[in-house]
Amino acid sequence: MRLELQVHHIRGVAFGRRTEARDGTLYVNAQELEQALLEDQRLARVGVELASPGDDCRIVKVADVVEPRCKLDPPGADFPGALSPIAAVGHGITRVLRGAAVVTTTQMPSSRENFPLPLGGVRVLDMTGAASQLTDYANTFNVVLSPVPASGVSLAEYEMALKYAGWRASVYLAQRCGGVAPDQVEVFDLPPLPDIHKGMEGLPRIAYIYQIWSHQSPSKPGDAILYGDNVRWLLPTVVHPNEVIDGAVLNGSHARMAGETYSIQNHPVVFDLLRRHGVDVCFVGVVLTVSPDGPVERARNATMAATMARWVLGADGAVLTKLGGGAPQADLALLAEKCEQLGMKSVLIISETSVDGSADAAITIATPAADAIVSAGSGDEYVLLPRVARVIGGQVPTPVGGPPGGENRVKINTIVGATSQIGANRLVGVEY
Amino acid sequence: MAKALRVVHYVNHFFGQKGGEAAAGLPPEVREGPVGPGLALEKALEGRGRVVATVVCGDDHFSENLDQVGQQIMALIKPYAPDLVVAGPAYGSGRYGMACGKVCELAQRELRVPAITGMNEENPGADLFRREALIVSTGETARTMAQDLGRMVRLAEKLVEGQELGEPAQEGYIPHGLRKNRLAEWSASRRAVDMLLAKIGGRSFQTELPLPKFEPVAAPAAIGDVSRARIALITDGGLVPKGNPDRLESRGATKWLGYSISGRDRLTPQEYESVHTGFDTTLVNQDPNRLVPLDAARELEQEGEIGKLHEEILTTTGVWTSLANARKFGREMAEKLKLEHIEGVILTST
Repeated sequence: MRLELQVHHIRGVAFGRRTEARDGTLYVNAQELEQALLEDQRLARVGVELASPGDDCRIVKVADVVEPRCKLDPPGADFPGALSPIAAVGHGITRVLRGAAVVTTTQMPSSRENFPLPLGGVRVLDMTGAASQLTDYANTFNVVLSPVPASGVSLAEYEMALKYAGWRASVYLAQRCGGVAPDQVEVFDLPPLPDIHKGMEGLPRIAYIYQIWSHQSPSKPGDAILYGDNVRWLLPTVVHPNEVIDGAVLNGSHARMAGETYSIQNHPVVFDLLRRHGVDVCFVGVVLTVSPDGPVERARNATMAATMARWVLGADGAVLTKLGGGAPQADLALLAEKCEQLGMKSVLIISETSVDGSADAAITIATPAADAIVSAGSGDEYVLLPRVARVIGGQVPTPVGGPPGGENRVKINTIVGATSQIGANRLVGVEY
Repeated sequence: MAKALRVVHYVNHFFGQKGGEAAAGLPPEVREGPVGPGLALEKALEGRGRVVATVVCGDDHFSENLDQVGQQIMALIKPYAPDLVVAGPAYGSGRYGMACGKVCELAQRELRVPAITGMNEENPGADLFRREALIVSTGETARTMAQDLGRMVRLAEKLVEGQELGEPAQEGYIPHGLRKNRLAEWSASRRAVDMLLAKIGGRSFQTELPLPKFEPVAAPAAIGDVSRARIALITDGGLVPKGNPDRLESRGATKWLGYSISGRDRLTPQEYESVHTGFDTTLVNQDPNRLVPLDAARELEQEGEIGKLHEEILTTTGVWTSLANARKFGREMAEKLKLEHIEGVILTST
């Protein structure tokens, strides 16, 4: 399966009379973008603002971050099952505006917000200061959307509309940036599985077992996670790595521990393995699974996923990642056990869970099979946010903490992109 | 360093040259300048500091009354306005190790003075004080005193200058048992692939997250006759009366609560709910008995299968709870139930 990414490097963002990419700058016609998003009748209006790296600016109530992309071939197959009819992705041509991002903010108070946070809940993004050092999204040129719900729209409907607004804006921006040649073309071309290790017989065969949802907070009807499906009853399933990074897998919710759409489009494990395919690994494929909510389901998923990786894909080893909180660690522990029982090595990526920094609570599992763990650091350390001149997304009152533009001490998991359960950044926990 | 450091040194009766075991009961006293190993300490400071005073105390006297004697020692140290407190090193001596740990803990907390000690990792003082105190890892005997003091001084100088210490193995101190974030050279995803290749290739690799070693919990003796026993219900599933009147945390609990079930045969969804955020609470909120089985327990009580159901449910939220709090809750709940002559507990988790 051959996927070609036509990459345009974006090094600036500005409002313009027409939406286009010119000389590395993304120009945005805000009215046209808003009109495109208001096709969704659940929204009354959409604020559009811009934030560049180094701006004295804070974006609050961040819901999602999306990289602007559109499918050129097959045309219109953008986020299939969610935005567009079901169509296979992972092949053909995709335009990417690398260096740019759509950032959505939530403009409706959430009664279901489990974790009351300073600055109005959900997450924040500082474009300058200490917190900006912690996240890649402070280095992207951001088109920030603040969609306002139409009257009578329920919270559930609004949350859905908010997700779609981010995806739709991503596609809108990329579609308007044709007419200039891409700066770079990246090709990811893996042969069908029976031929995959031809010419690289000596390289270890690696699979990626990817937990794409944790039903600690069960997905709801309409949550688009896999080709538009809410994966409520997903059994482990094999997909091609290209599908993961080309819009088949989405983050179905804005829960803080689910990650951002951007991090799936640029999935660090998938990209690392694709780029190393033929160099020092043979990447045999991806097994998708979920963290279910019962012990029988947990055993079934772990057993099936490990067996698929070992005996269907033929892997010598697997990288395992999770989403959500502490319970999905138990899924990874069981997976690691099953992998080792089948003679397949495993490495786990786990973010630390100790609220008070004590080493003995950094992880909740103690399975001897989990003897190779990469720490993704702890989100429970604090960072001091400075006073900033401009706040985006702060129109809805903030239930906790001071004024959103003021100095504020927050846990780093409040900063969108500062922690990544799929290994996107360099944070690591160390004992001292 | 421009200004010579003012150092106060703590040593026990033996190193303070007060004598052998017979002197172990002596109360604390302060002497001007260095005593015993203090001379080697001053030498290790190489002119960058001097030992202005030495506090000497008998090991038995101190270890039998850690807090009170510790406070007396702080009162002796304070007038010297030190920049640094050095204790020991205590090597394998348990009583001395406790004393050195306590001196360091109090000097930092109460006098706000950087402090350092040294001892063997097996010393009980290390286990007790490593969280608070900076303890250089030493052998079991004083044969290496000069080198050990040299290592202590080098670390202490970093401490005084406010430099961040490196990792325990590299700096030679006993880990505090805490974790903090650093920036690694590569992303976690790349490190995972590298670690996996090392593991497959049979090369050495080091996990970044060592598994916790949980203390084994010995099972108590069986209840002789359950039909005469008093049984209590406990949950960490976040069960609360509807509306959560006592504000039990939905994650990271700092407390546990007790609620009377007197006169109730079951828990109704009109009256109870779970505020836990670590699992899907839909089913529990439809029927709270599936989290805390009051309905079944009452039946067993009526049938005489259990003697008496305790009239109070104990509850907390077991999600994102610190281990320290979890241990505390467990201890407090057990003590309370013991006082009330409860012989057995049904503990339902999620």
